[in-house]
Amino acid sequence: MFYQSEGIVLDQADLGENDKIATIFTRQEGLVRAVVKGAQRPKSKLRGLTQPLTHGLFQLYRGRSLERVTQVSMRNGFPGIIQDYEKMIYARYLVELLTNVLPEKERNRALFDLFLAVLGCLEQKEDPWVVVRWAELGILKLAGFAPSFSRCVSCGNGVQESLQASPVYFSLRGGGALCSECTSQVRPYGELIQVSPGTLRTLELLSTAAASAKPSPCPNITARGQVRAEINEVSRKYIAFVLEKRLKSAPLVESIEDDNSSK
Amino acid sequence: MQNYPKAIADLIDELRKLPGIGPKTAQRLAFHLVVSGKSSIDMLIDSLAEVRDTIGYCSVCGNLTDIDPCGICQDPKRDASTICVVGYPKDVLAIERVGGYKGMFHVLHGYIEPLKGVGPDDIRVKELLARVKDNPNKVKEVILATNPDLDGETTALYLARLLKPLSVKVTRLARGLPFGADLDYADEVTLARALEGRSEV
Repeated sequence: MFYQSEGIVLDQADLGENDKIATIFTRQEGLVRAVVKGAQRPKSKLRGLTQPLTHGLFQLYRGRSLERVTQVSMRNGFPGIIQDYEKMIYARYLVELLTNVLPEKERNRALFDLFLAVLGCLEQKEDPWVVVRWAELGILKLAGFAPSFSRCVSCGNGVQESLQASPVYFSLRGGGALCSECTSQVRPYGELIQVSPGTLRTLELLSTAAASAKPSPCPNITARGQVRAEINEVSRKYIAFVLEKRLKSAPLVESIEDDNSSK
Repeated sequence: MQNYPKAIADLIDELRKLPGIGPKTAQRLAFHLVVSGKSSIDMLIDSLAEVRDTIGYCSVCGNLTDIDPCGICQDPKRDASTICVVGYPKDVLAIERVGGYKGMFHVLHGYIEPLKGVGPDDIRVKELLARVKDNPNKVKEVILATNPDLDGETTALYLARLLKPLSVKVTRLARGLPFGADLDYADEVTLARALEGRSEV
């Protein structure tokens, strides 16, 4: 049975000696793994069109076990990402995050639209950092792991009020900020990361931006120095905690971020 | 495996591990070898042993070789001011077949593949940088001949970032239409690249 869907190619791997298998995030069907016949052959027309980060209209044939790509009409190949090392690593990292939280063949149009918007922003924006942190929060939220930054995850009181008084912590297990009163009962909340008020506010802004309905405009937020470093720490540790593993591309992303912050 | 003597079954299993060999072909090869006689089997064994014992990687370029440094790195007629960076030893052969290239090579032994956790430290990037840095007046151009796919492109961009501050000319192989191709049949990605990289005639 043939069907057509808008989609983004996320990854591609060799299949035997002639074919490739592409992981495509489709709008209609969610994550689909589809065979691209003959894509390892030099004459293949589908080979270029099924490179990762290709957005287009895919015609797929639903076989018994796997789908097969029969035609592609490309809409965007995101040349602005592909010609920039940092953006490319970031994009591949977000792809890895996405494939780790998204079950196969489960339609998730909100996430599709978000991801497409993220790639667009990543291509346009001068500083990819903010796009990536915004994208992470958006992906986590739509996958059901949204952290809470405005209210204490223990007592539900607004955290901002207690900001002036004493330091605030981010609890990995609780998935959000802890107010100073609840921090005294550290035990049930596992590892805590101390964050400054600015960090919490920026995270809150990013998370609101990520939650806003489509069409998602690129976030117009920026952070430097200490705040950026703290946000990096929270994001790295929280994602590793939620997924119960470190993403394979995480070390590459971290080396870029550490390089940039030491400049 | 049905009723083969164990030695033949083992041989078929070993042959099946080779690329492009399925169970049927493995069986055919095994039977061919068994009936081909002692001397031809000995020849095969000898050449396998020789490959195992003599072939290694060149300490300079990383290519497969039986002498160190390899023939290309030792050749005084070759131009040491140009280094062509490729992903795998088989790519050296591809470029050598052209016959027009007279410079040196550098084999990375892989590409940066973020989704497999392969980073710059896992391929021979350090060695390339050392080659360029240690010969500041000698190396004038580095040609990035990595594959024109996403991983090859990532690797090329990464290398360009590191090499450009060392004041060497960094070039990339042209991408676009294959020679003898039909414009009408080219896919959009390739055609877009060809337009982007157009050159004056």
